Amino acid sequence: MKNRIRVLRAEHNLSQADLAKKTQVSRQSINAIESGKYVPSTLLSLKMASVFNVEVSSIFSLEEEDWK
Amino acid sequence: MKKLRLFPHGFKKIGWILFLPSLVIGILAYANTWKIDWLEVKVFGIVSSGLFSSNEYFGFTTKNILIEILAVAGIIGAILIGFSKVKEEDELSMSIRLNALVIAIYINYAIVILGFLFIHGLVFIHVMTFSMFAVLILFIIIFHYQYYRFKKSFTDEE
Repeated sequence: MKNRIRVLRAEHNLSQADLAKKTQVSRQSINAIESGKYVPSTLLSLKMASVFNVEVSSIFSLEEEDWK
Repeated sequence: MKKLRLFPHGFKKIGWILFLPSLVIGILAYANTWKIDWLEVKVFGIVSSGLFSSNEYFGFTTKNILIEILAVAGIIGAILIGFSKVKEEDELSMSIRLNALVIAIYINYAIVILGFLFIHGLVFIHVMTFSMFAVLILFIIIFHYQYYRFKKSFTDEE
């Protein structure tokens, strides 16, 4: 699964710690999600979408290997 | 979906205070069959059995309760350590916790299977005693190790 969190953070001028605080998770969790090591729950994805004021599908997108 | 309930973060410390002394004294007491005289008390039992007597139901019996105290304190302590919130509890720490629980169960029962296959006779009671506590202890070790590794590897902002 690909994500655009880093780009969106830059656009909104948010550090990982800022986003972590707004979405009620640890900074390490944001880092893990951003680097594709952890797939967040629907709830956390929706919270991120709400912070960035975008749709979830514009943050995360499926890759070919997600179907395997 | 309802969230799994965990104890507040502060309970973790209480857990360590209960668990560590119980573990150390418990191992020593178990290995040396220690007894503390004033812990020889009359206790109620749903079932009580002597080595050469038949089972007694719903009666009182006199016994040394050192092991009972250590076991109860140790188990409550271990539960509090493993199932209290970490400082920054979130879905990722919960995912690491549940993952650690699965691995702990696998390892514990692998050891129990080996015990069934290769340890015979009365000495098997040690395998049973071990497995009562090992699953919690393994879980605590694996969870804290994996959580520490997660914290360490994702602390640097890329």
